[in-house]
Amino acid sequence: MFGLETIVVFFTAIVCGMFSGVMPGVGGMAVMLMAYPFLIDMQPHNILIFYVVMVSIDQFFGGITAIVFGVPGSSSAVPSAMEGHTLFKNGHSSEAIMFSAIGSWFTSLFGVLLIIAMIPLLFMIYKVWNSTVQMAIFGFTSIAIIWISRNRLLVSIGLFVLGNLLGKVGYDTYTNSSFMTFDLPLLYPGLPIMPVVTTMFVIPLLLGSMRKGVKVFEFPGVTLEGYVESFRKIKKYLSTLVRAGLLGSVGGFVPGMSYGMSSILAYTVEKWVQIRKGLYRQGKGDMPSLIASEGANNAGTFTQLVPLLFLGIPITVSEALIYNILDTRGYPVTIEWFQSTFTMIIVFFLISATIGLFAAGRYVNFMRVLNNLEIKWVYLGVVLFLFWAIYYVGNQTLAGLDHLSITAMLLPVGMLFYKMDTMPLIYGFILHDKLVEIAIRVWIMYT
Amino acid sequence: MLLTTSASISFAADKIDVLQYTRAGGLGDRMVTYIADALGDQFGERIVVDNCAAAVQYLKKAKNPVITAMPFESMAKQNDGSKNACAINKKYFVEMYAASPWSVCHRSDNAAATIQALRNGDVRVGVWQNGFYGPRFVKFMEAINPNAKVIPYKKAKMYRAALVAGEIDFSISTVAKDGESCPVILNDTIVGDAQMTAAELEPNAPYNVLGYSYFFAGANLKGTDVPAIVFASDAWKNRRDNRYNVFMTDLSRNKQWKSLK
Repeated sequence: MFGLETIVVFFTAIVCGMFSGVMPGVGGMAVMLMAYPFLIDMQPHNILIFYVVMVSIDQFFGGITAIVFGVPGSSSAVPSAMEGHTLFKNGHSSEAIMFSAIGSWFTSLFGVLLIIAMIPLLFMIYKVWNSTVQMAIFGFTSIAIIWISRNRLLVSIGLFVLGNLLGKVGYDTYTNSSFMTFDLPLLYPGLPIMPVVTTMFVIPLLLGSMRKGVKVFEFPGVTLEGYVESFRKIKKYLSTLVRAGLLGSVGGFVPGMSYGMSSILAYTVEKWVQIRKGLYRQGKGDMPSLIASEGANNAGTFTQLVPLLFLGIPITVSEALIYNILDTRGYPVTIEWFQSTFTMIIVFFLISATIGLFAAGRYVNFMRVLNNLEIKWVYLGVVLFLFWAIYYVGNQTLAGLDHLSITAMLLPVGMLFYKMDTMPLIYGFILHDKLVEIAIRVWIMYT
Repeated sequence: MLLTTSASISFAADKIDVLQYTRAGGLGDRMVTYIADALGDQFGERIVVDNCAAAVQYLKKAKNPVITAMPFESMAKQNDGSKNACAINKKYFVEMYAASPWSVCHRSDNAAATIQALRNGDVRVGVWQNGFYGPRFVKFMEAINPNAKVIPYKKAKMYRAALVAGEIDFSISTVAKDGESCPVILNDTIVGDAQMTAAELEPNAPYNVLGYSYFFAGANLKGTDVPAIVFASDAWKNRRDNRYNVFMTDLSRNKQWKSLK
């Protein structure tokens, strides 16, 4: 069953996972699409291996980029950029990286064990996941995001509403209407996520950081001894890991939520818990919140495969792509076949999580070349890199200049927010479509 | 890999790119996949954009040969009467592609999902939340069963999951999935496992004959007859979505175009 192709696929997936994790705007889905011409010729089990290894490695590397540079590679890494980069600036860089990586490894394991323990109950739990429950969770998350933000309540509500309005811009096939496109063709497709996150989150975050007096880039790096020490100390975050593992695992395998949303939920819950305990340190960065966000991501990475493996239902776009490849190639797409791959998936997932844990540490030590450089130059480099990434990703669809134009339009607005916590805006933008869709459904059901 | 992608956008002169604007794995994706597979050595690369409005912008800017499959409703005016952002100019219209009637489906293991329940029960019917088809499904179901609640979902995978979870009793879709049966078809004649047409169920129901259709849209094809290549290919002959069939190809391109307007 396993041969040279599996080995090549495994290592290629590791490289692809590193690339998608480090490169903003290039998520796992984009890599799957780029790899499409190769995937269609692979053995079916190798397609699954490629996906599970790639997304697992992606989570480790994406988290580190968010912590070191304040740049979230995807929407699920926004909390890591917020808490992690604040810890980084305040001299807790090594701990932030090691605890988040080790926490992620533990929650990966937690996700696997939880699913194994719950196999007999999976179908029952799956049936509970209806639109009403989705509305309750999405509604709670939205309210909590507004509530726990460091802004005044009205400001956070305003930012959340603004985020929703930005999310609504464009032509919507579901309503057959346009919103705030001003008849500009570049706005018909809607606002791409990278320009919005860059101008409304990253730039205000970096400007805010510069105001707070950090002058030079300092990163002592991570060591094997540090990892061992962090392994010993991680137990003090046990309750955080259990909460994150549970929310990430459950969030991963329910349709319409995905591990990105479960990461947001885990972060929101953890921050709320820390605030209630009086332990949350505003403006200093919060380790449990960072661990929760990163950990939930990794747990959900595995559990998102469960509906595909046990019910034959793809619940994410990447899984639908895998299903489609298998189906169009005439490979077995029966539930029995998917279930037969379960043990293999677990083994490859845990191996890749372990590789991700240490490989991410090796990668991050390269960042020490920036030590003692004035922070403003590092941030300038980050912003220029992001502008290039926006152009590059946009230009894959001949819309590079469009995306840069949108960035230029949003930039002055984003710069006004440099004193604020813009997470409510970002989440308003990200959650808009889902919130509206579920709200409409629940309204119809109960009226 | 990205560099290869970028470079080939500029130099793949003999190749035909395939433009995908719908989510991967869905029906729209499969329709463009049939094209890609049929093109064989002539297939350039798959260009993925966010939505149909972005696809139209891509067609306008493309310098390479590129083709896609667009749905009929993209030509319909917006609700406020303005031009649809997904509508194409005639020069990008190639030919009609395929169409399939809609069906009312349910989980095969749901014994309560009978035609009697569809007519009289307090049932929930999941439909695709689409600005064009959504209101038509609502009117159709109002005539079939005023007690039914029509629940909109943005994606087919959502109402598949909702059917499994028991949140809805029926769905309206064009292709039955594994474990589903489709007893009523919105068509003139019985197709597949349908037991009756929607007109037999309720002759006065509006939209009791309703289908979903695609047309080819492309740019810079320089006389390459992509539809002929697709329809002659094994990819098309062995298609999974076998309820989708070629249609209107006996009419001239002009007449086909007029039917879209």
